Amino acid sequence: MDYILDTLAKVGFDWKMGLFQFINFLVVFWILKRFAFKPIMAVVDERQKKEKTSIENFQKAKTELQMAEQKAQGIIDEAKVDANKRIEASHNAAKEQGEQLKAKAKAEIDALIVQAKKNIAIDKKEMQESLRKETVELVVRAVEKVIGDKIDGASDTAYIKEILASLK
Amino acid sequence: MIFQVAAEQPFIQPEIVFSVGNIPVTNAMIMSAFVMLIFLFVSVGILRKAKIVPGTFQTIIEILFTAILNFLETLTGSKVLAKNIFPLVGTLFIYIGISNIIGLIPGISAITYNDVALFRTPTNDFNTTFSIALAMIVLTHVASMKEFGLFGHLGKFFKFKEVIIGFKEGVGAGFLAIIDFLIGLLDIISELAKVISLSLRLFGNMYAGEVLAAILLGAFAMIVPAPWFAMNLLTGLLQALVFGSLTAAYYALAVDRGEETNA
Repeated sequence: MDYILDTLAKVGFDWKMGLFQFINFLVVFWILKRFAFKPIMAVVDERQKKEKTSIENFQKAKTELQMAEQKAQGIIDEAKVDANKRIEASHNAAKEQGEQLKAKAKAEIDALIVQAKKNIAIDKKEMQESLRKETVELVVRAVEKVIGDKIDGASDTAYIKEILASLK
Repeated sequence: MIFQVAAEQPFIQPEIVFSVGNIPVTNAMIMSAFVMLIFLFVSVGILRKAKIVPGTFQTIIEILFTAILNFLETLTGSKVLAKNIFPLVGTLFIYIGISNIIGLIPGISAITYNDVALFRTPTNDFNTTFSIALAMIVLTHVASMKEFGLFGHLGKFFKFKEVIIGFKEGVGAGFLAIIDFLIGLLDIISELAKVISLSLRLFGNMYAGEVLAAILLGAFAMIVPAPWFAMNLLTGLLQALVFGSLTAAYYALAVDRGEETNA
């Protein structure tokens, strides 16, 4: 033991100085632990925690945004399908209505044609009647001229009726 | 003039500046106290008020601390263990690092009191390196006792149980257990050697550096000492790293459950 202490003494070892240095180191250790490592690492940990929370929040927001976008896209797709359906339905309805209008118009036109034909027939009949009348009168006048004698009203009428009867 | 008069070669023992009662106060002790005061001023005055948005100085300190913590994590392979030993090994890194390089401040060694240099690099005093190394090795044993219990810890060195188990298994296994027992006894010597190697490595490097600096300053007044000082700066920081790393490794080995954990 003495040999060890003598050897240590040769390199300047003295237990009092050693003890002082040891205590000094302990004081430095306490100072650094209490006033340097603890507050600095607490701040670093807090910052890391905040960063972690921020990253998590960002990821959460990103996921939510993606979900919202998907949802919005779904709504848009649904709306498109609905709109297409509505457009198709409107198109079909318009087509049907057009067909109906067309049919109605055709029926009206047909009715007009029938009415026109009827009117024409009536007019034709009236014209034929009028023509016959005028023809008879012309014939009477021609006969008068030919026979040179005027026939009176009663005989004239009787004559006309006779002619008309023969024409029928 | 390139060549200069020979500078005084440093003594291996620290010089006594004055005494308080029967306690000698050496220049290394004064420098140690001065370093402690620097730490006190910086820690209490600046770092205690650490802010979430750091300033330049706080950023540098944060980078340093985080680097030490990451280094310890790599060294020990455990985040929890690295966090546990960070204050202690961090103090070693910083205290020894600053102590090693503070003596390089120009003119600091020229300040004298009673014709004795007032300041001497603390790690250039064997008392400093030996006391810190001894404390660190004692601490690793305390940590081991906390982890394995008193008998579990002593069982690492006195392997009686293994010898009994070995002989129960067979004569061959028993003899192997005896060899293991002797290796366990040798480990006690190796624990003492750790203290000597840790303290002498640091002291030797720093003392040799100072002797060489004195010789170079004595021989050459200009140009040559500058690169030497730069190298001394690097050596000082490197020695702090070596001391701290070895302590961390010893600590990690002391609390390592090895096969138990791997099993």
